[in-house]
Amino acid sequence: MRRRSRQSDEEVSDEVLLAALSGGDEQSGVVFVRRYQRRLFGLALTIVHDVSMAEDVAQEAFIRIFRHALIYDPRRASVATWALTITRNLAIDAVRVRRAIPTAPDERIFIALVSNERDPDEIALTSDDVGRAKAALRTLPMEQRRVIVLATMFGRTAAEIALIEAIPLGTAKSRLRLGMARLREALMGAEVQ
Amino acid sequence: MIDQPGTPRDCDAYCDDLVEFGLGLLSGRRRAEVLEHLETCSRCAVEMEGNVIAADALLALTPEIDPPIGFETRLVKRFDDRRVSRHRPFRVALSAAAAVLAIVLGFGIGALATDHGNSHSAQLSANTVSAQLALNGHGLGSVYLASGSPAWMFMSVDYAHWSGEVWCQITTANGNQETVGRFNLVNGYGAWGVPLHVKASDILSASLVDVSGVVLGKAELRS
Repeated sequence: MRRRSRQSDEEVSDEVLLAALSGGDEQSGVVFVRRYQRRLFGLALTIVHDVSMAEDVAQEAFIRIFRHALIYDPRRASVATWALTITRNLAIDAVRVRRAIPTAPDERIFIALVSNERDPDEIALTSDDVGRAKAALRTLPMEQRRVIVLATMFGRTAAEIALIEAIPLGTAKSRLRLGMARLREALMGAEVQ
Repeated sequence: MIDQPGTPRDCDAYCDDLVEFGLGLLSGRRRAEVLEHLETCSRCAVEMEGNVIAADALLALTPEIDPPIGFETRLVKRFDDRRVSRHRPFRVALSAAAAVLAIVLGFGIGALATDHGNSHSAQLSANTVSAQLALNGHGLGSVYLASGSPAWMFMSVDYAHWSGEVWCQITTANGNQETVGRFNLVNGYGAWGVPLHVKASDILSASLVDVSGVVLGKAELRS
């Protein structure tokens, strides 16, 4: 197999990598893992809060991605979103099966996600998708932002959110619903602009 | 099939659960109730779909964290292990039991007798497929699907020391999920088989779930 140079690896789009993967190109698999392992492991760890379980989840996600590369549909979502969605679903399943008692989310990651403060490097380093997601999230009142982040990024149920936030279950559910409606509007507004 | 919106009064009973449903956070009976409502209510189905798209957009904010040293090496090994199946005595016994049952029932999956359950996703014969029942890479059994009229499904399980009732759910090509049977695990072991009223070719996967609806393992039958 002909080896690609480091520079050309970085130039290859995610879609091309997936197409090569579905054709059995092992080198594409290596490039894909190196490109995505920090994000997939980061999301898995955010949800399961256990390094060993997070590695298990991230590895299973990569195997699913390799196996199903052929059926990836670019019209439905970007490769990144597709890969992260697979990881999130696996992580949530793992938590439901293996963790009887919900743990509190990682405080540092949680605060960074819900904070209004801007990282000095944020504008220079973030992609369009990240900027759009951050901007949409910041349109939500803080109490809705917190529950949306807890559910979508940490995989917490409404009952767990009620415990973490010390609010009634009904309040947690209605904040989730209202927050998600507002988030949808903000994201649609960003698309129009 | 989605054909019309539910009445607002119907929807009120489900609207607060749509976010959790879309994220896979609901389980058990409540998940089944919401799913049933979504199958007949286009309004809530559209809202739920919009929720999922918005939640997916937030995944762009995922923190990047270095995995432990050796992650890539272990991933490659795990990938290779999936290709070369493991030989475990209990699985041989359970697979053999399923094979005997199948042969007695006349489905002609004699290939199982010589295969010893070692091939998790192999085509065992023209009419029978098998797949590993697994969760996050941990195998906990095998599923055999024999086409015919009717089609048959066999499941053999070794799930730690867990005892209790479990259900078998299938997912069909049109996205429907259906519980097709239930059986008991004793000290983690159990085997079970049932004729199906759907065609084998319509079945995408089979899941083992506990009575609260938590998925214990899944076998992809069309991978």
